[in-house]
Amino acid sequence: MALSILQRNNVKVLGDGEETLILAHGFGSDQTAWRYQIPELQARYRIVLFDHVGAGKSDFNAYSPRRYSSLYGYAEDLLDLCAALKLNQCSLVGHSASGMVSLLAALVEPDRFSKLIFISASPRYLNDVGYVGGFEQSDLDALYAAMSSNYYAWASGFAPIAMGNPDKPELATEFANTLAAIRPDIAQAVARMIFQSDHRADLPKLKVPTFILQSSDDVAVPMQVGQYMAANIPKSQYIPIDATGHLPHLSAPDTVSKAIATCLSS
Amino acid sequence: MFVKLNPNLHFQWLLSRLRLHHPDWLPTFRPFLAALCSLLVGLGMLEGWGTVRLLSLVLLLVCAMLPLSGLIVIAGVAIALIGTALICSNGLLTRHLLEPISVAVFGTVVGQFLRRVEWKLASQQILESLTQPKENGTAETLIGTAVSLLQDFTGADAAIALRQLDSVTAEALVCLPRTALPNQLTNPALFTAALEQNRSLFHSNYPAVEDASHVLLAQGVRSLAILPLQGSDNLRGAILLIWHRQTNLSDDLQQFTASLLSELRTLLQFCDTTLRLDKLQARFGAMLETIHQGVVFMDESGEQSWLNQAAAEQLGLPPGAIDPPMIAQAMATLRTQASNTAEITVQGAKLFSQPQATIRNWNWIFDYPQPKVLSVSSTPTRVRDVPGRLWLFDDITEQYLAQKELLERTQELSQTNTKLELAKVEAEAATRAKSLFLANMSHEIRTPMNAIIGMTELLLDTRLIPRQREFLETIYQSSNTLLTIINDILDFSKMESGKLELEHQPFDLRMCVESSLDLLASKAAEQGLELAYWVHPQAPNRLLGDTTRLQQILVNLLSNAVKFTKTGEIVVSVTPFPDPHPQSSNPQSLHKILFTVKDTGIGIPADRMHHLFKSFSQVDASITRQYGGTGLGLAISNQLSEMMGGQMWVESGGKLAGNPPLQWNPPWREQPLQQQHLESPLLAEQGSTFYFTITAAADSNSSSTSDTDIAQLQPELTGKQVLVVDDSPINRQILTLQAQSWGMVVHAVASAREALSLLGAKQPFDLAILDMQMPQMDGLTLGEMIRQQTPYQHLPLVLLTSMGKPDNMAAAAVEFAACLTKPVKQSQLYNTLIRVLGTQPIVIKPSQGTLEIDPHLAEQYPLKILLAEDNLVNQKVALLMLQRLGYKADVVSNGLEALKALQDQKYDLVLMDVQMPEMDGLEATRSIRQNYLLERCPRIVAMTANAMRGDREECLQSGMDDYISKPIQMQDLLRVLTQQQSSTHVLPAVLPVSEPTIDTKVLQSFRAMAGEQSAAILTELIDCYLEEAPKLIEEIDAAIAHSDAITLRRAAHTLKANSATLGAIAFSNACKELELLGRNCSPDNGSKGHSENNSNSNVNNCLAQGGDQATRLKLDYEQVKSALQLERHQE
Repeated sequence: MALSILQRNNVKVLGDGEETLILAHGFGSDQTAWRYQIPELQARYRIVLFDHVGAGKSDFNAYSPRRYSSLYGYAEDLLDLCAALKLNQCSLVGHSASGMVSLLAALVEPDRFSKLIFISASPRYLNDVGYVGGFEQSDLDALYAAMSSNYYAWASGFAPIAMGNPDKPELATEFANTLAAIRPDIAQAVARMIFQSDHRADLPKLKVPTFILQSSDDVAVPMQVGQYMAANIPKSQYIPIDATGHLPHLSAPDTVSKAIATCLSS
Repeated sequence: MFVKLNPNLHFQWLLSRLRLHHPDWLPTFRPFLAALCSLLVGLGMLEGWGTVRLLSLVLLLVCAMLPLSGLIVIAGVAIALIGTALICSNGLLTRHLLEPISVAVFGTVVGQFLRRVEWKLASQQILESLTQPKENGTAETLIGTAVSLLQDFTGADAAIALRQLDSVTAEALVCLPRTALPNQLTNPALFTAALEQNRSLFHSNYPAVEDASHVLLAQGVRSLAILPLQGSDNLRGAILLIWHRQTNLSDDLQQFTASLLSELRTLLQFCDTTLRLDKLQARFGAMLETIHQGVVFMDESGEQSWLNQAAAEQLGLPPGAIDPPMIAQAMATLRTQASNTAEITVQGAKLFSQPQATIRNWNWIFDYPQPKVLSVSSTPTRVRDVPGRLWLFDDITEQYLAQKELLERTQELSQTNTKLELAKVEAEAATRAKSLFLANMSHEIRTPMNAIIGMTELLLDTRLIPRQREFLETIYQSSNTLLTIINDILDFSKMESGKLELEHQPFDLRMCVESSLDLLASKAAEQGLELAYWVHPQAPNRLLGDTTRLQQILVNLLSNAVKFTKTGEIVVSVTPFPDPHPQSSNPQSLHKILFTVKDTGIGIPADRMHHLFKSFSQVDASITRQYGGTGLGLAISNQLSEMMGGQMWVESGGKLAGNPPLQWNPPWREQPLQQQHLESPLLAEQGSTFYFTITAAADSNSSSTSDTDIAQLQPELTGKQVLVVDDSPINRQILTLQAQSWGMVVHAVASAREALSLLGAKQPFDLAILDMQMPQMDGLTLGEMIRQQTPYQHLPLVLLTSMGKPDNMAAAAVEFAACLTKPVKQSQLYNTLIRVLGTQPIVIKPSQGTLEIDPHLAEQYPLKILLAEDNLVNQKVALLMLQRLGYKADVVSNGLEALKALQDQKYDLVLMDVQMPEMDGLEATRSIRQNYLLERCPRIVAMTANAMRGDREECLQSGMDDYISKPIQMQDLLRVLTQQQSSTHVLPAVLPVSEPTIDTKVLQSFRAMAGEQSAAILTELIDCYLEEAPKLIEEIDAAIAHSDAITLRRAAHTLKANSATLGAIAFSNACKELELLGRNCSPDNGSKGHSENNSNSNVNNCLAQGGDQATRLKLDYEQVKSALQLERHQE
């Protein structure tokens, strides 16, 4: 069981610090997205890297559209992973969708985690009464339509928008490549599931101390979302960082690395 | 199963368990027990039982009612006993204590028994409540009820019903309470083990279990029961019963759940089936309402019948389940409204003739209220042995109308097609008529032309005053020109109508070029033009193609060049042309050859060049007046070269026109191949150069002896020093190249002065080639001067003259080794040089320029001629022409008459017109060939005015031997008459076609031996032979007849030797056979011991086979005779 989970999620464990730090990637990328942070963090922490099912080098056969029809499936995978590695009181950095995944996991088994660090995470992407999520339903419908008509064209168009930082086009190319590496049917189902999710009600239940790293000009996660989460998660801290776009750990690696280090040592 | 004995914990547990309806609390027996106990206590008090006894009763009740495990009771009793024993050793007390202890044990046992009964009852109760029919009892609510009851009876904190969705996903169907799982979805790994073992798993201490679900643990699960649910149809699931406190899962509980499991399984399956049914129903309903077709179902039981929305509209009924009679009624009404009711009825009777028939495309057509066409289909069904029918009403109005329209259109189209076919037939007929008209035209024009040219020719041969001769020559030339024009027009018409076909015969490229030059040579010489040609050594000589048409192009270009060039020279060169797309399959056999005709004439104005290759177009109308011509020649040549797989283009004044190939570079840009050899003195701006290419396959069958020999180095010529004196640079160049190609060392000079100075330097020359016409000093004078120099008194001299001036030679004081007419033919030059340098004196016959008419030809070639010709004028012309050669001919005017004449007497030659009344020439020929034996069969030569292609083939196929086209030219007639005896068809079995009657080499070598007197000697020899040979043949004949082997041998031997001397090799061999026969059959040869009679009869038999040979010999002799007569005539 333990072995199959490690294979299923392509789990890698680096470094041998006493404290364990899980780095969880977001939608459209994989564990390689953390490569800029690893060298600095590896010295002090035991780092656990993994790919969500359907991404990177995970076992694509393990993908089930039913199991992953909500973020909870991923949360359960994360808890499986913690159980397999016998992790308790570890820290976790979750990017984008992995923010809510780790939140759900921490609600089920709070003792697994001592700290959560969200990067570009959002409990709800759709605007609502009194809530700014960043998207209207019509925006998202257009996005789904573009994805289903020509996924690869969509990926190459969506990547630069999500990445931001037009001065570094190579970043967008990289993101487009990892997006294109996902099986189109999986990508569409997962994107729809993430964008339609609403975990605002789960925020107040979180007991684990949480740091919310918020970059500017993030097309998917406006500033208001970070602030909303900070206001609703009991033990949370809102930390704006000097980076732009939805993938700051790639576009401003040093800034993000420092911010993570600060959060972890506090 | 181990339970800690913690009283505090037990107390709490007891409190939490204090649910009085729980089977452990004996909800059924409790009142009875309590009542019984109360009764007994009351009775005991009345009886005055001791306190201990009364307490024992209470203890009994408590022990029976409390859900304590047997172990606890036993342990308690043990502790009590030991404690009592330790505290006091009083026997009485022990005795008193024994009573309550035994009561407690008994009570516990009773309690356990009752509890078991209670669980059974609970199980029954649950089953009862589940199987009770409920209103709105969906599968979900049922399973919800079941799980809820289970939870209630087992006292579980939570109960979950799970169903596996896929290998990694399970869905919670029922979750009590709702928060029992963090999410509706979870991992099926929770119940996999239970499913595999197919039994319920009970974990009293779940955290201790390996592989315990951390999610459940996180939810606070301490004890867990997993009840697997597995049914058919891949249904997999489980019911989880969860206790948040560690709970002893008693055997009663386990048995209780096991007894319920199968029922739950059925329930879950029912749930699943219902779900599927719902889905199916939704799908089915959506389909029925989505399709345009009306669907009606009826079964024969009359219970089942329904129709969809579309059918309801068509039948005017409400959709859904309808009584069958109503539907049947509606369908009948609809059918009677159709406009084709009768047709429907007929079809229906046919369709329903079989009970289980499947009906398709039963069209019901309606005109009212609006046009509508329904295609009715019906399929028989059978559900649980009840037959039924499914009807489909498809509205195909649009298709039907479209199809109807299509049908009409198709009919129209086929009508149009028929018309087109008719028009095509008419057009083809018109084309045939056109061709026929052309053929007739050709015939009609040629007939009078024949008369004009023939008569003029004859008239020219009569005594005339110069003025008359001048007029006649003009007429003669004009007639010939007119004939050329007519031929051009005919050719052109044929091309336009695609009727021109090319031959595909092997031919000699050099010979083709040379004969083209021959035709123009005299005219060029008259104008004082130099005519030269050069064939590249690498150009293949034997080709497959149409030599006549190639010659036509060349003659056309040459005659144009001669026409438009006043002074200077005309050079023809033939070079292989690099093909950019060689045929990969057979790269060697296909060759592209470039022909260049270059002149120094007036050139072509740039603005007129593009009209050149167009039909009926000349450069200038004024040119037409000045130079004449139809303007068709170039157009024809252009098309011919295209038909030969080539192109034609022209260059003049640095401008190009026509169709030059892409890779071709004009000579002023890049020197092409031939220009590297021929450094032409002509500038590009001067004159004009016509180019054309052809693609032809090399004749693979030819042994190609002559040309390869010429192309290779010759030992006789290699290293020989030759002096070439010619003022024409191009001639000089060509001669040099040719001589060099044979390995000779060439010194070429432009004038006599240079030549003399070279000779003065005492150069050791082997040969000198002198041009006749040179400025300052001509060839003759130069020859004389050379002879005056001592070292060169015996230097062989070869003189080059232009045609038309051969007579100067006779006056020359100098003896020339050879005299060649320009343009010098390569083979001729080669032969000449070989002979000259081979130290053999050569007798050069002056080229026969004009045709000499021998009025005594008939004496040499006596022939009996029959002329079959219907046209009186043509009769006259032919007779007169024959007469001039000393022949008389019998005349008939059609084929039938010809046949009759042949029956009366033997003819040697029939000149047969093709188009004649009664019986045409072809049919007559076929008849002659069928009816006459070979030796009696005359030679038949067609005379036709038809110039259309195919005539020649038709004539030869019908069995004719040769073909002359009208107007009859004297040359053609001569050829036919003199070739008469060397006819090949006469005895093809004896003489192979390839073997000549007379081997000229023999005669040539004889001439060489005899020297100056050769001609006279040869003539005498031939005369002598012709006199002797018939006598010898007579002897042979007689010898065979008289079986005289010795005479036969001698005569045959003599004839053999004589014939061989004169080169009649084949004839000689035939004689040799007879000689051998005579030798073999002679009596002194191996048959000495036989009697005379025997011997004679043997010889008879032996020589009998010689009879045939002798007959053949006589026929052969006729050939030899005529051939020798020809030779004699030429001497």
